[in-house]
Formats: sequence, structure tokens, C-alpha cells
Amino acid sequence: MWHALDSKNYNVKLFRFAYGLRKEIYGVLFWAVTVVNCPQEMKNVRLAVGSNSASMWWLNGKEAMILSGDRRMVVDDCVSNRLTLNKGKNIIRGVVINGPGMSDFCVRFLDEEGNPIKNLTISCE
Amino acid sequence: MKLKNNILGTTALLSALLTGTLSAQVGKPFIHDPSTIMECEGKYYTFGTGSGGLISEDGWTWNGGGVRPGGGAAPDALKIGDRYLVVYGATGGGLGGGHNGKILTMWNKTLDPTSPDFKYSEAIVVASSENMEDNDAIDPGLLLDPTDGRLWISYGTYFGFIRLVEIDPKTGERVKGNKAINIAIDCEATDLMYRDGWYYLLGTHGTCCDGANSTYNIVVGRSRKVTGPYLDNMGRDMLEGGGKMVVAAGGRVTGPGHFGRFIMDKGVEIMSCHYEADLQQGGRSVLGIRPLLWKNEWPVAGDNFKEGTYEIESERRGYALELAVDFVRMAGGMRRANRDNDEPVKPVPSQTLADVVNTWPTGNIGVRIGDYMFRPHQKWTITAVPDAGGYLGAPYYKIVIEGTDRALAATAEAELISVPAFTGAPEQLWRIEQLTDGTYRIMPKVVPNSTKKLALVSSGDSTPTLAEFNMESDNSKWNFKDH
Repeated sequence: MWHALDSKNYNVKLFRFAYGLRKEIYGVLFWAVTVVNCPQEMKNVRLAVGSNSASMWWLNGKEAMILSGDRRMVVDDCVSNRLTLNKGKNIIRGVVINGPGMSDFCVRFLDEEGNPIKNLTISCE
Repeated sequence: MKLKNNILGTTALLSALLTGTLSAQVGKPFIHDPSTIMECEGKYYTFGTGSGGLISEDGWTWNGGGVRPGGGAAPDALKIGDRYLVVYGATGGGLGGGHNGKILTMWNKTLDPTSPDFKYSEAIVVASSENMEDNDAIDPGLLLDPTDGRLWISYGTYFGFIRLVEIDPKTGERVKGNKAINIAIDCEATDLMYRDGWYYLLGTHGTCCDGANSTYNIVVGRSRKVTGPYLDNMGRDMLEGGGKMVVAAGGRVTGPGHFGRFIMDKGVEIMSCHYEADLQQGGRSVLGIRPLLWKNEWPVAGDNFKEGTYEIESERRGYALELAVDFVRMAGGMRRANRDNDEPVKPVPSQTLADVVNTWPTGNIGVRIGDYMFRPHQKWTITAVPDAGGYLGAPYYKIVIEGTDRALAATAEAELISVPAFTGAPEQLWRIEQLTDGTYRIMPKVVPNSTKKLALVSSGDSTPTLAEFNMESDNSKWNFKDH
């Protein structure tokens, strides 16, 4: 079942999300989807992800990156190759696996200088 | 002559076989989550997860025998005044539940369990976690702020936040009204330290408790305030997972974790940790002690000294320690500019020991410092001496001319000499410590007829002597160059 969540943190606390829904918290796989609305086409941007634990990410249906192994969430831990954000809607899809312990992730786009791109909005549709 | 060559060859082979790195302590240094090393009445102590701890008389050979009641996880220790404050987590944390944790403090006048003064005070709870809150109250680390005398404990694991609380340094109790502050995530076994206006938060990142597959490593962030924010070298907050590497796996040890700092002298610091697995010691978790260096105001682990053959270079001038023997010229001289450049190029062999050893006196030979020319009288083979004891984190070494048994020694006049054969005498045993700037201090175990602790020092560009170590002077510093 899908749930709409607007995280007020810089990250999404999957552990707390599952715990709050009284779902399994360990040995689980989370799917996440968001829609990124871009005011104009942006070339040479990079998707930057940190996740606890391993995760995999797609942009507009194309695999962007994988974060392998048992790992902790670190801001800008893994960064994709250069990508293009389309004008209008772009769909990010991700999957995060959690064994024991906390589980969370954070995602953002970086420009060519490595600075976060801020003139974006997100929606669930 | 042939016999001599055979002896030289055998010595060289033995040296080659011995060449390597002694990366962990000897004895039975088996421990997990060692507390910061404490010195008490001439012995060293560290406590670990579970109960008990290790004791060492010289800092190199460690065995069980430490006594710490309470069990639980990852203690720390700190000397305040004439007492030792020991802090520990009463529970072991838990990933599948069981996040109720307690941090407790207790005092002891001595850490020596054989002392009549050895008695722990009743343990006091100073912090706790309950149910499924974002914290596991285990793995405490202590900091007595040298700027204002306030006492702090960081604690926590991967389950939620690392937190900071203030403790009364007189009682070991939580300061009344103090509220815990979140200072990091995604690490455990934290520790705090202060240096030159910066507070440093050390955290253990990666995975624990999986032997050779544990990815534990120690990272650091720093802040101008003890309460944070602790940022790494990229400006990332440790509350967002930031952290700059201090030490990771290497050599034959994996998973360094649970940092502790010990200042021996100004400019001489070591860090303690455990290695999740020392492959040389059956993959057990062992105590690690290694130099602590400072680069651009960031701490970084130095490497334990590697046995081998080196130029011993003075930081003062860049000249090399050498035997005071006649310089033996190599064949040939400068090739004249008008020679035929189409002549075949043939490598020129380096000068060997056999080329020069017969020109050397057979008795004691003086030692000086000179231009390094990669000649036999400038190449020193340095190996640990088994059963000769050691000092905090390392064994004593012998320093001999490569391919010979001719050993560097201290004299009763606090000068240097080379003796024809290494006998194991204490003035032939050397203490080698990497300094915080990456150079080295070299000290004889003893100076005959003296109780002074003296170090190898440049008294002139070309003259070595033994004198008191001074971190502010390049005269006191040396480099080992593996050409």
C-alpha cells in the first residue's frame, strides 16, 4: 500500500514511518516515489543520495545509481553521473532495504559546482 | 672472506623475513570497545565491553586483570584530580528491540585491583533511553573541558542520535536541569577531545561485530563549541551523517573502533582503539595503539612503525645519520660533455657493503650526520627486539647498519656510538615514536649512568647527540626514508 508523506526533515525516516504504521521495521524493503517539478530543462545535474541501508534509484524510468552493501545514511554519499531534468514533471523512484536498525534516506539534486539545486518543487502526483 | 659474505647474506635474509608491521599489541590484548587508556601508579589500564579490562606494565604487552563491575558496553575512564571516573552503559543496546539503556558513572582512587585503596563507589545513573525513542543510552565517552573544567559525556549508537549531557566533575552526577543535546547520527562508540580551540567528536562508523567482515572505521567532526554543531571537512554536520576518516582497516587488521586519546608529551600523542579482527591473532578483537597525528587541525591515525631499512634523515637539515667512516668513492667521475652520446648506456651498480666494510674499523665507530648518498654506512636496518619490552604502543627496536650487526648505541656521555655487535644492552634499544606532525622522536631505552630521558638530537647540521626532546625544534625530529 502506498502512503503520501511530506517529510519536514532533510531526510525520510523510514524506520519511524513503518513503526508509526505498526508495520514491520526490520528485514523490510521500502519503495519511494516522488515527482520533481522543474521550471526549465536542467542539464548536467546529479542526483545525490544517502541511505540506510542499500538502495537503488531511477530518474524518469532510467537507472540512476545504486548504493550497495550495509551502509549508513550520509548526505551526498553517492552521486549519479550527469543527468538531465526535464522541464515540468520528473519522476524519481527509489527502493531502500533495511536489515536491523534504523532506516532512512535523503535525496537531492546538485549542480555542476556541487551545490544543491533549490528552485524545484515536489509533489506526489 | 667467503665466510664473511655468507654471514652477511644470512643476516640480510633474516632481516628481510622480519620486515613488517607490528600493528597490534602483544600478550593477550583481547578486548572490544577499550576505554581511553589510563596510567595509574606506573601501569596502564583499559576497560572493555562486558567486564574487566587489560593491564600493561610497559604499554606494549597487555593482559587481562582489570576490574570493572557493572558489565554492559563500551566504558570510558578519566582521571579527575586524584580519582578515576569510570563510565559505562549498563545495557548492550539492541537492534531487534531492547533500547532501554542507562549510562552510569562510578569513582575509584586507583585502578590497581591489588591496591588496598581499590574500591568503586556506587554507580550513579546519569542518562537513559527508554522504549523506542531515537537513542540507545550506551557507549559513553568523557571529556573534561580544559578551558572551563566542565565535564561532558557523549553516548549513543546507530539507533537514533548521539547525545551530549553535562556531568558534575566533583560528584559524577548529572548537572541538575541539564538537557541532553543531539550532536550526531549514524555512529557509535563516540568520544570527545579538545585541541587548540576546537572540540572534536570521534564516532565509529560502519558495521560492528562481524570479525574480518566488520567495516568499522573512526570518523571525526569538529566544532568551536562543545555542544556542536560538529562539521566534517566538507562542512557536513554529523547530524546529517558527516565525518572525516581518522582510521580504517589496513595491514592485517579490520574494523578500528572506539577511539581514545592519550597525550604522552607535547607533540607525542597516541590513539587507542580496538580492531574488530586481527588476522594475525586468529581474527580476534584486539587492542590497537597507534600514533595520533594532526594535519591541518584534523586528527588522523599514524601508522605503527614498519620494520625495514631506512635513511634516518634529520628534520633540521635533511642530512642522514651515518657511521663516521671514510667516504669510499665509486668508480668513474663526471662524464665529459664531448663524449659520444651514442655509446651504449649501462647501469652502474650501487656501492655495496662488501665494497667498503673492510675499510671500516672493527671496533666502535662514531656516528655523525651527512649528505645522503645511499651508501652502506648510511643504511640502517630497524627491527623489533623480541622480549625486550616496550613503551606505550610499540616494542623497543635495534638499529643496525644494513647487512651487519653493528648497532647504534647511547654512551654514558650522552653521545652516540656504533658498537660492532648488538648485545641487547638497554643503551642499544631504541624507542621510535611518530610525532603529531608526522616526523619521529628517537630515544634510547637508557643512557648509561643517567636517569634522564634523552632523545636523538641534531646539535649541528652534521653532528648528532642525545639531549632533551623539544617539540618546538627541528633538532629533535627525524624521518625514516625508504629509498
